[in-house]
Amino acid sequence: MELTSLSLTNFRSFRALELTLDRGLTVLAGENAQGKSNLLEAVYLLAIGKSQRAAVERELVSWEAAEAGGYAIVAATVRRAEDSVEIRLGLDCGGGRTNTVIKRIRVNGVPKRASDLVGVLSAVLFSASDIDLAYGAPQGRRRYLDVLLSQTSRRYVHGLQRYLRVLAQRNAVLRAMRDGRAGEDELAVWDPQLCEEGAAVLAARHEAFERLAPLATEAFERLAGTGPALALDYVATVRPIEPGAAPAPEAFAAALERSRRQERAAGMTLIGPHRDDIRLALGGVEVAKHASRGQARLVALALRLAEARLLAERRGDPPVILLDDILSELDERRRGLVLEEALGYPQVLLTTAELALVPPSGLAAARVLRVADAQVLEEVTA
Amino acid sequence: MTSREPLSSEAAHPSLAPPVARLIEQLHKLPGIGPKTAQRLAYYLIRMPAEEAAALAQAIGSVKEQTTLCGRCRNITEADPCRICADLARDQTVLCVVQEPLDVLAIERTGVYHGLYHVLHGVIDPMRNVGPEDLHIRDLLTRLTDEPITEVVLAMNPTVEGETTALYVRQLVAPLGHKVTRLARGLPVGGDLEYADDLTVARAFEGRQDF
Repeated sequence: MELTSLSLTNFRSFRALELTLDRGLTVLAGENAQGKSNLLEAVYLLAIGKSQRAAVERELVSWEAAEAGGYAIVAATVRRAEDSVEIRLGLDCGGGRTNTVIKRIRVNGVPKRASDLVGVLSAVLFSASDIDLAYGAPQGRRRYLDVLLSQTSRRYVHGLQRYLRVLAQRNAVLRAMRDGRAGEDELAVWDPQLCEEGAAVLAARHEAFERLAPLATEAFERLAGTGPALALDYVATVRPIEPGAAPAPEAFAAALERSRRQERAAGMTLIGPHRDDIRLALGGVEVAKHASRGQARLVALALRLAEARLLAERRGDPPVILLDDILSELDERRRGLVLEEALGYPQVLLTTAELALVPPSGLAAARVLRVADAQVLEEVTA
Repeated sequence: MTSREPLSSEAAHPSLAPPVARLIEQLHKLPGIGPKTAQRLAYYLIRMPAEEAAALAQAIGSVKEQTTLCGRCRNITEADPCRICADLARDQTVLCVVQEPLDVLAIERTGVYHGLYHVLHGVIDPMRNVGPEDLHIRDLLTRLTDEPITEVVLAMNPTVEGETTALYVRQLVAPLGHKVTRLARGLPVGGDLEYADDLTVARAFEGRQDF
């Protein structure tokens, strides 16, 4: 799929921007802190319904608008395999209470919940902070899986939300039990729902992972060439009864039973998809502990490339590729490889501080836009 | 309803007469009323004829004074027992357990149910410190042993908290030997399969019936 237009109002540094977008490669060039990344952030916001980097959503609204109780709007037209949709996401600071932002979403003019927006536009964002996928805490890798699965299945979004809700309630009971404010019978009633929703989340992750792992291994091989292979392992805190299968609700319940004592002491639920991880290893050596930064970077790239491929397969409609300032960290050969692979998708939006970093083969057919001081200008190419 | 922060400086503006500011403040506490709506309502009330405003004030005052919880079903009522509990023509063997008084109204409007009710006044919600003992569950068990009830219909909302509360009630009721049923979950009448969310369709499928 591809964006044919993008419009921003009071979004971060952009007061008003109307942009038509083309297929193929669009290069957003400009010095640091001019707003290039904000453009990609806006597109990704439409894809997954939240910002991948704003700590609070109020940050997304330009300072003046937020102070005045105003609003920001991000809108886009998306041409998909079978139809065309208009997405409009408003962030309203006029709710009266300080720091609250009300999100209003419309798809083709019809109001939608944020959870129903996910995946209307599918996109994959590559950014410099992806190195945390390889080096960082398990949370980042779980989020990677959840965002990917959410873009392929609305059922997953809703199931995960229900799971997290049950989990939060159950943890509140465990805390209350620790303080002597709740009894055993109050805990047990949350378990059937925790097991049912949790097993559904695990089944979906398991099924996707079966395909994702080989895709990532292959992508890494293309990037790294010879050398140790990348192996991915889903580390589950709930073990399946049959090896190779996803844990059923019964397995979940049995595992919960086994962790009763510890969770009572900890005051929180210690097993389930919210505690799982993806273990990444190169030739049997754990990436998080022993890989070089260069290797970790390639691992992260491989995960993103696998994500894009899986999304394209599952949706039958390739995602929009967003490359946020990732070229400067790669050598020339890898820059060429990544761009070549990205250009296998219908639309690529790329930000860079230096045009010279864009491989000439890609640049030749690219549209170049110059971003300066939250303005976007067409670069006249000779 | 969660507690609200005090109104912004706008509401306490010196150009506002203190009684008006107080009214706006009170209206803003109501669910679904933001600061702007509170202001609009306040000025609407100011322009109201005095007797209408007095009638409104009196209605608000008397609703607290003249209502109580029904000693049997815990619904909000003027007379105890309430009209439904006092109506001997109703089926005394079926008891429908609901979350809120408004749910009784919703079921009564359908006209298909002729049994009795029991209002829990909430659901188990540990994050908001609402446990089973904060709901009218103990009263329910007393009724089940004292009254000739044979079937208990659980009509909680299909939310995470509603389901858990239903499960909790079922666990307590099961040893007493009553038949326990729950409302079906599925597609809205007049709805379009295509536009229903996945979970609803899935639940409707699980709950399919002979036809």
